Formats: sequence, C-alpha cells, structure tokens
Amino acid sequence: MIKTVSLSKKFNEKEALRNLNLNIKKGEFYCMLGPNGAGKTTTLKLLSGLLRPAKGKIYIGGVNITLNPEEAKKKIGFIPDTPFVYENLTADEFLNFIGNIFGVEKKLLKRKIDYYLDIFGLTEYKDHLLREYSHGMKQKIVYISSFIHNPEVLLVDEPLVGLDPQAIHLIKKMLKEESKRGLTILMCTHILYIAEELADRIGILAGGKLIAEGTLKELSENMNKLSLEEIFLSLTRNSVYD
Amino acid sequence: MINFIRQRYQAASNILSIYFASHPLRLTTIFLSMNMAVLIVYAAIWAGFRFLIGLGGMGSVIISHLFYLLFFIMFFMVALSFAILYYNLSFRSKETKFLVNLPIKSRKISFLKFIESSVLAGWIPLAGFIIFIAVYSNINNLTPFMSLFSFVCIMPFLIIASAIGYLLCITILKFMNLKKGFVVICVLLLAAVLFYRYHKTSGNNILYLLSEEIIFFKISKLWFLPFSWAPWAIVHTENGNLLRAGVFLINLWSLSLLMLSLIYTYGGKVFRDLFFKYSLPAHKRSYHKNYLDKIFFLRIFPVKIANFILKDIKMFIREPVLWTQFLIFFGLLFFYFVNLQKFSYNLLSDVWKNLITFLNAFSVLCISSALTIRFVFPQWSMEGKNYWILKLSPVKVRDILTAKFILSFSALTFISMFLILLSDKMLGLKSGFMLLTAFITAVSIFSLTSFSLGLGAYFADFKKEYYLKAVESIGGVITLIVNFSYVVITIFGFTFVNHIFIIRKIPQKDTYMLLVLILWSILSIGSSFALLWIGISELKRKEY
Repeated sequence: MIKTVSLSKKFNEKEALRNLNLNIKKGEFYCMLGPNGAGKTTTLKLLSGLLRPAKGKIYIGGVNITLNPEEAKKKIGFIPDTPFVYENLTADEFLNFIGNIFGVEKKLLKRKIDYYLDIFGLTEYKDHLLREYSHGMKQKIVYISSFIHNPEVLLVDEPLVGLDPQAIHLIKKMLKEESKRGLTILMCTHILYIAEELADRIGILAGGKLIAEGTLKELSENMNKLSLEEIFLSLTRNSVYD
Repeated sequence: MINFIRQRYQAASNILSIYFASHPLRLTTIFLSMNMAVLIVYAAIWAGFRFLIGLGGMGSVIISHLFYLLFFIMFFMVALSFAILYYNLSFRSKETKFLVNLPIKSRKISFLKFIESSVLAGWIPLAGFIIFIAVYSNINNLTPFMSLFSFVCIMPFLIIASAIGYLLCITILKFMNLKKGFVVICVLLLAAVLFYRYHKTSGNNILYLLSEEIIFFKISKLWFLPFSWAPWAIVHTENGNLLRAGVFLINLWSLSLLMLSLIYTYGGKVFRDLFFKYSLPAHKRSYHKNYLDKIFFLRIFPVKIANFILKDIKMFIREPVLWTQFLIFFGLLFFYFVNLQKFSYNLLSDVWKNLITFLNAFSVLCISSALTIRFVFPQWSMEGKNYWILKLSPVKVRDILTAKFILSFSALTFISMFLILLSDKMLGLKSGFMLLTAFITAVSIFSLTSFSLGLGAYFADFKKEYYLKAVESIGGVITLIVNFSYVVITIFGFTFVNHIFIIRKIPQKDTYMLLVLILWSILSIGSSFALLWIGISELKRKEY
C-alpha cells in the first residue's frame, strides 16, 4: 500500500533522507522511531505530497504521488503533530469543508461528522469557532478530518501530543481497530511504548537512513533479546549527533 | 528596546541570507525588478509633472495643490493603516502573549509595538515620498539640500500620523468595540461627504475649481494642523523663507517627540487593560447553521469551487483584521467623491473634458488597485500554516485559484463598476464614453485581480503568523508597483490618443481608439494569464 524506492530529500546541502526503501502492506500498522532530526516528519511529508522528493519514487496504493498527486491524495489521511486548522470556522464548518474537498456525499458526511464529534466528546462545541478550542480539542478535530473520507492510508506524526488520557485511550483503540479493518497506518513517534503496543512492524530511522526494520520480536532477537528502549538507544547512540 | 531591534534585525538578516543561499538568482531578479519598478514610478511621476507644466499656469496651480494634497491624504492613510496594524500586532499576535509572560514592563511592549506598526505603516509611503521629492526637486532644479531637508520633515510627519492612528485605535478599543468603531468612522466619513456636498461654490471655471476657495484644498493648507506642516516647511525653504520653514520644522519635531514620550510614559497601562480585554476574550460565540451556506449564487458553481469560496467569505467576515481595512477604502472614497462633485464638466474645454474623463477612470482604478493589494494579494498568504490542508487535498491548485479569482473578481467588479458608473454620471459623460470607461474598468479589474493573485501566489509565505505583513513585504510592494504601473500605462494610452486628436495630430480618433483598445485588451488579458500561470507553477513547487 505504501512503497518508496530510493527516496531521498535534501534541504539545501543537508541530506534529510537517504535512499529510503519502504514497503508497507495493506492493513499493516508500521511505526517509525528515531531521534530528533532523524527524518521521520520529512518522510511523512514526502509520502503525503507536502514535500517533493529530491530523488526516488513514492507509490500510495499503487499510484505514483509525483505523477498523479490528486489521485494519490484521495487515499491519504494525514495527522500532523501540530493541529493547524482554519480558526475562524466552527468545527462543523471545518469538517464539512474537508468532506466536500474529498467529495464525500452530503448525508453520509453529516452522519460521519455527528458520529465522530460524539465519540470525541465535541458535539456541544461543534458550533464554536476553532480559535476557541484547546490544543487537544483541535488535535481531535484533525483526527476526525482525516477519518471522514475513509482513507486507505493514514500517516500520523506524533499521535498523542496534547491529548488527555481518555482521548489517548480512544485513539489507540480506534487506530488498532481501523488497522484490522484494512487501514494502512504509518506512525512516527518518540514514545516507544506506543510502538510496542500497537505496531505490527517497527522501523528505526537515524541520520536520514533506515537502520533497522522488523517486528518487535525480530528486532529483539537480532539484538540479543534487548527491550525496544535498549535497542533504540544502542542503535541511535552514535547517529543522534550526526 | 535595543534588544528587540537587534532581534528583528537578526531575524531579517537570517531570512535574507537563507533565501539568498537557496535562491540567489530569484533574489537578484527581485532586487533588479524593484529597482526597475522604482525607475518606472519615477518616470511616471516625472511625465505627469511635465504634462502639468505643459498646461501652463493652471498646471502650476495643480502641482502646488498636489503637494499639499499628497501630504493630507497620506497623513490619514498612514493613521488608519497604523490603527489597524497596531490592533493586530498588539492584541492579536502570539508574540505579544509571549512578551507579556516575560518580565518586561507593559510600556516597553506597547512602545515596541508602536515602533513596529509605525515602520510597517510608514515605509511604503516614505519610499513613495522619497521618489516624489526626488522628481519634484529635479523638475524645480532644487539642490540636494532640499531632498535632505524634505526627509527631515517627513520623519516627524509619519510619527505624528502614527500617533494619531494610535489614539484612534485605543479610543475605539477602550470606549467602543471594533464593530461599533468601524460603524462610527464610516458614519463620520459619510457625514463629512454630505456636509461637503452642500458647501456651495459660486464659480464654474477650472481655475476657480482649483482655487483655495474649495474647502478640500483649504483644509490641506491649514497652517495650524500638523498634516500641513511638512509641505509648508518644504515650500518655505524652497522660497528661501528659512525662518518660517524653521518654525514649521520645530513644530513637527516637538509635537512628534512629545507624542512619543507620552505614548512611552502612559501607554503601558492602556496597553495592559486592552490586552486583557481583547487578547483573551471572556465569552464564546456560537455559530449555528449559517445563512451563508445557503447563498444562492454559490449553487451555480461546482461544489469544490463553492466550498472554497464559502470558506474564504466566512474567514473574511469573522476576521476583523480584514474587514477593518475597509476603513482605508472608505477613506479613499471620501477623498475622491468630495472632489468629483465640484467639477462642472460640461462647461470645460475639450482638453479638460478628455483629461478629467480619464483622470476619473484613473482614480477609480487606483482605488481598485489599492483594494487588490489589500484584499486579493494576501489571499494565499492568509492560508498561512493551514496551507497543509490545501496541499494535502485532492484538488488541483488551478481549482483553488479559480475559487479565489471568482470571489475577488466579482466583489471588485461590483465595487468598481458602481464607482465608475456613478462618477461618470456625476460628471455627465455621454453614453459612448461611459461604455468605454466601463469596458476599460472591467478589463483592468480582470488584470489587477490576476496580477495580485498570481504575484500573491508567487510570494506567498505560509510560515508567517501574521499574514497581513505580506502586504508590507517585498512581494506586496512589487505587486503595488506592477498594479500602479499598469493603471498609469492604461490611462496614459487612452488619454494620449484622445489628446493627439484634440490637438489635431490625427484626423479622426475612432479607428485609433479601437486599435489601442484591441491591443491593450490582448496585452492585458495575456499578461494576466501569464502572471496567473507563474503563480500556479510556483505554488506547485512550494513545499510545506
């Protein structure tokens, strides 16, 4: 569902990502770990079309995002770490706007908006402007906006920033369930326990290179049965200050 | 304060060096274009002066009035612009919230915002003044000392205008609210227009109309009001009356320094009160199903386009930063209509009829141009950090641009057509001329909208927190110059054909006029599409 071939990105002279080859299957929950500046967010932005690759190819559901961006973007839901939204729209207006962009049928869209607002506990605030929302509430709205068009691929950057414990519990449950239903998820995070708990496969990125990949069991076996934290620290120790 | 200025300088120099490192060619092109644009403006003003001098005594009277009028109009434009900027930079900016949390005295924050707003509101008028004074000095063979002296006069002039804007802003925020303040100012401007309408004039010839008996010109020269001090000081120096010039100069500097010290000393408490009132609103407002969702005309567009139009309309209505700028527009209209109705067009000679007809179209296009700079150019930058939503959407950039174009073009055409037809009617123009000016206006609005939208896309900065800074940025200035040059070239072309017919250099004008009209229309529409294409290409390249 997500495939990259020799994907590279440069910012001026600095190589942010070097020859990344990913192959994530349909319904797989893939967690990408890495220290700050490893290239995690760059990877997500490249996959979602927010950045242009310097080299390499990206396929989303078999569609090359560089050649056919509109078609590829229909399949993507993206949740950034900072929820920038149109603050002068109400939650209801914003979600309708996003639904219309993705061409969701009107009645279905209304049902979906009502459903998600309800489970995230935002129904009573749906007519309030988003500028009056807290960071966590805005993050919930971004989650809803990425779900309402039934994406085939979900790209999540730091999924739990600013959320309350109840929302964290809800989102973990939702992501797991959606993954089981066939949604392909690529999540970048610093929080190792989330990866341990949710991921089918884990990739470790450092200095713009994928330095390890596999299931938690495979990684552990390859590294003398160390815990994920120990694996992460030992693999990234030298590359943090690259 | 020095620390803040250093921080601003460092930020600006970092941005410039990063931009130069990544796009050296583009930065050089921008720099060269700006220089070329300055030369074009210089040449346009110079040609205008030469034309007026060519008219003889009457031209000299106009030049003399122009000088005072320029300062008069600029004074109020800077004041209004400052008021809007100060409100947004002080009470709507995230930086202010950060600064308030630091152990810094309120008066220092208030003063910093005053300086920042003054610079942003004043730098474009200052650049314009410098070019104007350079031309004025050149035409009148004045020494370089005069240019330097003019600069010394203009600085306190801008400070006083900013201080008036400051007083306006805090008075409205303290005793009313934005909506009430907006309505009160509009009503005051309207009342002034109505009052002026009933101020009878007894003469009908052009010299009388340009004489100081007309209230508008009279006000711009009132020696006891600060907007006239700078032109008086410059004119007295030019005439060798240094004592009087010195008095006006001392007036300018003493009042500006007094205002600065008062704002620094007493501004802190006012700032603190207003900050808590406006930055942290106590009540939450609810917006149930909106009447805008049911707007009839939107149904004629495909859902994707209507979706973006609706979003932009809602964002505009709910953002005081945007609609308060209409004050500037109403200010321009005020200055325009109060003068127009005093012309007795039918009694004038053909030369003046021709000149006034096209000067009228020029004025309307200048107002439209100002509107495109304020409202159309920042349309892309307004997306700001939300641009990721558009970039991620499966909608072509062309469709989003179409939505923005439809909204801007319809609104501007409505306003401009209303203005041109009303003013043509007030002048008593024949229907053929009315049709011609209406056509010129429609094509010009198409071009001005396209230029602003295309260049707005090219220079869009999605990282800026406060998107109206885009208007005061290099991109904004380039768009201002492009739009203004377009308006000047347009009007000059049509006036010229008519003028050479009147002075019998060509036997008949209709064929020539038609040729110019066709050529100009093709060039206008061609350059519009070219700039829109440049904008779209740049947007496709832009990353988030």
